[in-house]
Amino acid sequence: MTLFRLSTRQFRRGWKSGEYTVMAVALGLALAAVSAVGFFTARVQTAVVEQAGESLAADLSLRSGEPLPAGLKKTAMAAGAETAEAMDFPTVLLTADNTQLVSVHAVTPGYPLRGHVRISDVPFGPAHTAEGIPEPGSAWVEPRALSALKLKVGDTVQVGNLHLRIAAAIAYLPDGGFGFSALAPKVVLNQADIPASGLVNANSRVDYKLLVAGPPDVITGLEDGWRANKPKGVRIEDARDGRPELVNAIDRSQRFLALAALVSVLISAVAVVLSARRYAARYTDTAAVLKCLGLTRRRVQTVLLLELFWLGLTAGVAGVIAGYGAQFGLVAVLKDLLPSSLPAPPLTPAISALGIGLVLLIGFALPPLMRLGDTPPARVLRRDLAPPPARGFVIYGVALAAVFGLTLWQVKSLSLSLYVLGGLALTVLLLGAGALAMLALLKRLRKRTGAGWRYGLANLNRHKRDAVIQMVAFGIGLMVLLLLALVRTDLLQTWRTTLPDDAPNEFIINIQPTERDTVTKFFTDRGIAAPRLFPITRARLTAINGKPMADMHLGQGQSREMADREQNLSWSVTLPAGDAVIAGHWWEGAAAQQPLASLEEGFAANLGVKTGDSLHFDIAGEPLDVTVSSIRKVRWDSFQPNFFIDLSPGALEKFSASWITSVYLPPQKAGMLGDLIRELPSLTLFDVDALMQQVRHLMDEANLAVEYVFLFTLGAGIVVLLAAVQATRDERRFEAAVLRALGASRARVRSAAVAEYAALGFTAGLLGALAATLVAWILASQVFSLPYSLDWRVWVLGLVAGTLIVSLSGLMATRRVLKAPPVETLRET
Amino acid sequence: MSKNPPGEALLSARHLGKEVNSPDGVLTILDDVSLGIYPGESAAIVGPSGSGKSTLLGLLAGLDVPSRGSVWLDGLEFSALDEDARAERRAREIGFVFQSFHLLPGLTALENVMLPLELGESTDAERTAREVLEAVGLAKRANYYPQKLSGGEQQRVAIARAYATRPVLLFADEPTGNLDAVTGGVIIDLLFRLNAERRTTLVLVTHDTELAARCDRTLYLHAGRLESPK
Repeated sequence: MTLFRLSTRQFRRGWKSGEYTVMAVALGLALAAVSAVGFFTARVQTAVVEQAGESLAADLSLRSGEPLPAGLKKTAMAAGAETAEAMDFPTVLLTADNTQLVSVHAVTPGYPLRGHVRISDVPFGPAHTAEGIPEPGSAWVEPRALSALKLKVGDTVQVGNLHLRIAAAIAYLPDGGFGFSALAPKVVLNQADIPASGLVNANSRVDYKLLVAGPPDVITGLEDGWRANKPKGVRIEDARDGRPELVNAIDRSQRFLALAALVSVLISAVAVVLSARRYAARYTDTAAVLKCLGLTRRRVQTVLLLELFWLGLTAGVAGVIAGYGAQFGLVAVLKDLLPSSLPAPPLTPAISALGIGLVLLIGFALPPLMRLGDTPPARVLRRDLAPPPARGFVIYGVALAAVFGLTLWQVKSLSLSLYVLGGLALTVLLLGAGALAMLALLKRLRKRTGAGWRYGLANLNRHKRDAVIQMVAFGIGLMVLLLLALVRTDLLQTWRTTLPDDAPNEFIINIQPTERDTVTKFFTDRGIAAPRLFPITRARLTAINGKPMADMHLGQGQSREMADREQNLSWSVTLPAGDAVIAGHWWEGAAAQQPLASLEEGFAANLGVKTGDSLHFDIAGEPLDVTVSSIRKVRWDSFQPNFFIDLSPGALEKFSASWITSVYLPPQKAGMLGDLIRELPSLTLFDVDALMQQVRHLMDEANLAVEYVFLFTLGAGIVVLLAAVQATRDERRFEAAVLRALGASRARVRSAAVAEYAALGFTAGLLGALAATLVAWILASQVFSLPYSLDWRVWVLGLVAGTLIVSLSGLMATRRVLKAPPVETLRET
Repeated sequence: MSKNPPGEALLSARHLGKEVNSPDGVLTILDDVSLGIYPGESAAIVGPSGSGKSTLLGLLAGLDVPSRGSVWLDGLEFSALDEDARAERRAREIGFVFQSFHLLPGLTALENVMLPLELGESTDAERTAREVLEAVGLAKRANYYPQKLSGGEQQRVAIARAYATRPVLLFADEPTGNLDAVTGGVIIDLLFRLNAERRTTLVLVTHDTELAARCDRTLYLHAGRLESPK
């Protein structure tokens, strides 16, 4: 009880006197970063889990690329279940002078069977639950499409042959999806309007759905029956499956953000170590007095542990509260990628953040403090007696274990943890070496400067270890932010400049065989070269070398997805421009009449297919066997239609196909496509620029969120600086006093401090810019095969930001040191 | 000047020696020191700087262990106990006053005085501490933190802290070393008054001969050896 009271008293006093400030800020900052990410991802996860039950707008959903057999609906209704139908397909909304790609969701009465649609009269205005579905002749439209077309509720818009009144703006669709999965804005219409719209014909890409809901036993009975005797080409989804692709995506982003937060935690750990050392040094006298007064080693350690616990609790709770506030920032930044309404966060991230705080303290503050228990009591008589130094392996061992534990805790994967730590260790080593080199250079430089600067630069070299630590900590923070802020956009810009100016910017799909000539004529009439049209036939890969796909061991990743999805087959007489055969031969002459296939190299590798293998496809019930005759390297960014699977004309010609093409239209001519759609309403247009912009917008948001989390890293760098300044404060005060006593003006003393911090910050900025440039170069030349050009902005921003941030923080931290009257300081020591 | 009180010594040293390793090899600080301190007496250990006074005090108080010989407290071999056991005996039986006061900066004057009482599980630590602060004339400064007190006041708090647990033995290491002459005089008067009132045995290290003269007995230490009284 006494120790408890003693610890609270000591803690209260220490807190008031600012003794704990740096350690508390370091801890609080780390926990704020971790808990902001934790709260945020927990909210998104809860939303996804909560909405999973209604994510199908039904209990069961049967999907197919073909109209579903009428028998399925009859079976469901006979069993006592409710049903509704939906058709999903992309199309284009038209106004007098604009087009917008949208995703049509055409539904029958009864939709949604689970959950509710929420709509509003004004985009993003107060929403209410929708009664029923849109009346025939009207549509509900997502606000994004309204703003792109400058429309409001009540206006009329053209879809295919229809002129629809916009009855409401959509606020929430239970089966609407979000994030990258909902790239095209949704338009809900009444299925009764579809036949007159001219939007759907035999070769249209439509996702037909039969929605089924009912009592659990009815649903289970129906599902078991359907799964046992699966109608051809029909996929069965039930609400219990949740949204595996979303859960996966969230899991990945959670890991990424957690990784960003981890960097702040590890840099904060450096500040914790520095400030714990200083605290231990200052506490030695107290420990000696306590022991002299009869406290045993264990009880001295208990008091210290308790103090550390109070500190952890106070700073931790403050950090978690700050993190709670900060997660609102993340939500705001990512608003377009998130479900429209997020539930309140659960408490678990707070507890886990406090746990991380505990690990930080135990790993980094405890070892230097615990050895205070061994302070010789005779120190009260002889100040030079100190506790025996802690054993290196204890300090480093505990810290290393803590670093590893924290990483594993945050990224939840052993291999990823090892990669991250390996990468971080390499970065630290490189930056550390750079810092040492700069220190050596500054040492030479100092002979050529004035007294103030000489003294300041000398100070850096005297505290070499601290200087290196600070330079590396800041360098990492700056590097990450430079990479995110500049290098990323640089790479994207460079990639764009590698594209030819006339790279196609409009894709036209769903061209019926009878419409081919109209499309070609449309362009030639307007003075544009006739684009090449490519046929597309949809097929399902059913077997490789006679082995059914279901029996193939492809795991659950990309290979499985590739194998299971519907494939787009095309055929071509000549090798597509830009492609290169890397194995086997392209069909020439008579060989083109054989059933042959040419596969894209990545696709082939994922399925483990080589030339000579046979592939078995199912095309709308008709079988097709082909032999792989070549493997191709495809230039995806040619913006020509590219295919994973190209067949020889002989193999595919007899199957019905729709056609696809891409053209380049200069901006002033883009409007002409509206006329094409009016002529051929079932065509679908993809505006590449608009899509890229959309993707880029979402990527920017995601990027901003990561930058946001990395701001904590920069904060952690500042705390490391504060900790290092604090660690040498007494020494600095004494030296400043001596300098002043020797006649140096206050300005001279200040200029020494400016020199020291400016050099420190400049070096950190230099290292950050250097590392960012190096990473950019590796990414450009090794990963993306792009020409790399040096970006001067990286250097300017790195050097200016580094110098300014460090100088200002350093001067703030030493302000009191410089202000203290020298007499007072000298008398104290 | 010294007298030899009858009865058993409260504290005795037998052939004490202390050596430390220094850059110039092994350095002998104390060499074969034997002495006895009797209940209720006050003894001064005097000697020039570097004669080993503080080291001897540290050994007698169990703050350090001798290289040779032994220290006996109340009939038990004090120097044979481990550090924690010595700490417990210090808590129960010994008080300290230091040259540089050694108050805990995080605690108020009152809390500093309460500390050893609380460590000894005293039930009315605060009342006792206030009484002792009153006795040293600092009742009104009870809630001040050490850095707000003058040197003399800090030493008075330290004396209050030392006497609060009613120790049988009190060690004082240059108690006036950091104080001006007038304040030093006041502190010494206080120390001896409380010592007389509470019948504490006092061992005092000083190089102030005037102060030593106020003790019952003076022990001269020179180059680590006790000299016969002059």
